[in-house]
Amino acid sequence: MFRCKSLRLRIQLWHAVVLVLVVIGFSGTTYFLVSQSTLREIDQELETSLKVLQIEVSSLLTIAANADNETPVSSDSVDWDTLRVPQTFAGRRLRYQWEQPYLVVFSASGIILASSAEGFEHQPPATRKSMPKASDTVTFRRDKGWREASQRGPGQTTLVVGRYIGAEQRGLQSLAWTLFAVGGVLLGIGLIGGWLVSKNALRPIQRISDVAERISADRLGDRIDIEQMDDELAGLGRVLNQTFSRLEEAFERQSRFTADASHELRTPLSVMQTHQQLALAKPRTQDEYAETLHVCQRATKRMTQLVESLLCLARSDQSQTTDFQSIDISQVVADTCDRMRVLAAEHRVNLNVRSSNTASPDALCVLGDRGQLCQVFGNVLANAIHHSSSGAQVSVAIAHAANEVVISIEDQGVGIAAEHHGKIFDRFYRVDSDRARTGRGGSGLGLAICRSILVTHRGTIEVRSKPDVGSVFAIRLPLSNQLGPDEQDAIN
Amino acid sequence: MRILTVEDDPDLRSGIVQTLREDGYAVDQAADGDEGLHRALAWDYDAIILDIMLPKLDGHQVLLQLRRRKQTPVLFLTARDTVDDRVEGLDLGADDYLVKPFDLSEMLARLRSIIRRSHAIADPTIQVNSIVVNTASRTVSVIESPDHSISIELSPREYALVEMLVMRRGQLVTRTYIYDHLFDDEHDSMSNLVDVYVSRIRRKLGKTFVTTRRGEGYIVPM
Repeated sequence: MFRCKSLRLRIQLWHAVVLVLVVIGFSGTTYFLVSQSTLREIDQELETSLKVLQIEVSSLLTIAANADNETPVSSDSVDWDTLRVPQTFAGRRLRYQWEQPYLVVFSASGIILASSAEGFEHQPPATRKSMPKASDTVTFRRDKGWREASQRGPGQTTLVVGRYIGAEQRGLQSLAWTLFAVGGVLLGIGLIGGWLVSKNALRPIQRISDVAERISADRLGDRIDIEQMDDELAGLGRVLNQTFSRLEEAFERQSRFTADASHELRTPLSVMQTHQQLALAKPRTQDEYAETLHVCQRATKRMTQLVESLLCLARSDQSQTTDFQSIDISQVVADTCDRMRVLAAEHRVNLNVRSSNTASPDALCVLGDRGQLCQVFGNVLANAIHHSSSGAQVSVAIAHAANEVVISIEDQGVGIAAEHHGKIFDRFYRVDSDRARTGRGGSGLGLAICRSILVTHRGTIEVRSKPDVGSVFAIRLPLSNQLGPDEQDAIN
Repeated sequence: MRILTVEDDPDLRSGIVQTLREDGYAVDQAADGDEGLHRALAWDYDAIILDIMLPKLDGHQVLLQLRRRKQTPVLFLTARDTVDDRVEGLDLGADDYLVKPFDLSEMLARLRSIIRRSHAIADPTIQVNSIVVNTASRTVSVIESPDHSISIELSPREYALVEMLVMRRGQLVTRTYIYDHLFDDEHDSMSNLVDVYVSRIRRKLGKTFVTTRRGEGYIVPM
């Protein structure tokens, strides 16, 4: 079966088919009804005439010699000339005489006893052809343009009444032609109209595809103009515009990230370049050479950290969740805290861990990657320790709420002003006061990495903080025994 | 020449400052935009080396606010290398641009160029009688005969002094000015250092090279 791929063509074909069916159906029905009614009228007239004729012939035969109806009648005894065509047909305007209604009476043997069609230019079928078979019921027959009704009459005669119905036939014919012509015209108009309407209706699709084609990496700003569109297509246009906006954002994020990353790497490179050139510019003392090497060391360490962070981010961006396993969160937190005790001691910061009073140990299982989760807690803890002053307290609390676990890391450090709260999880974002710190080459990626990892784990991280009071970082993760089968599938 | 260096990375800043000093410049430093702007407005430096990414006040802002009041030549340092960044920096009023990591000799050459431009001297060589000062190569030579010159050996600071006086040829240069532009806060304030250096260059370039105006300053006669 030929499958047409053009939407427009298909719409038009179906439209045409429906239109043709409607037009044909309508005209056909009309013609049928009219022609049936016309024929019925004619037949009823003939039938009535036959009835009258029956009565007249009957009375004629009765008048002529008391013959009973069973004896075949001969022409001698009856005065057939008194038979006239009934007046029911009176008043009709006729062109020719032979278009008149006529009557014919046959004897039992088929001899014409009487015929009012004698003077006709064209002989009707009754006189031209054989006598119609007669029965006690009215029988109709049509021969070309003539319609005859016949019945057995009294004295074994066959009575025939008929008429030329050419005029009616011509009338029906002209009706048929009229219906055909009008139907054709309507069909034509309908098809053209449908073609135009479908063309207009589908034009926005062309516009949409034009815009979509124009949009490329350097023209992501274009959008589809949905003002003039119909509702259905405007919906499509809106969705596409949203997709383009998301694409544009993703591109911008990508190029911003690349610019920031290259910027972050260039400064330590510049440090090394400058100091190396300086050291080689002229003979230097041992101490000066040693100092140059120390400076280069610092810069190298900084770049290494940055490269590690960037790789980590790239890895978590493309994270495969198929390696996720069920992990005891409290164990991970405890391990991380143990690791951080050395750092805490160095900064003379007090580190303590509080667990909520939950029921069973496996109430705190999450689905994830152990290494990555360790990194998240490590990053946040390290931040807390670094931002705390000597003797301050950093507390880690694990709580169990509804279907998630909440790990809070609280410090009493310098705090973060409200205007930075939304941005500290952005890549390369550093609060100004942080950047001025010497020796702490923070790259601004630590919290961005945390957020990225948590997103893959279906968790969240947020901060509450007041300057000079302290900060609380809250990490939420969905518990794995609470995930429905669909969600677990989605993670995998 | 006295230069202001505004750069937040301490290692990089120390490298730049040391390079400049070894090349004979007096250098002041600032570690953030606020301090940088404050110093730049407080004093007429011969040039400013300004990093774009600064804490507290962004480098662009520093330049914008500086340009409202001063025309000090500015050399921008940045790690961003897109065309838009370069255009923006130059349009805001920087005189030149350097992308990190940069070559030290290139930094020094561009610095000299913007200083030269600010004195409206296009030709790198300045001649005073038979003494030729080449500001590009930072050398001084004496013309003995039409095709023979002797190069004179000068320490960086001595050269700096010669260059300063010669660029202001015909104008009186006060001792305070010389002091401020030859030495930075690293030195103890011994105002006769200026006299010491003037006598040194007189020894090397001839007594008539620079004239003393008692109580006022020095001048290289036209």
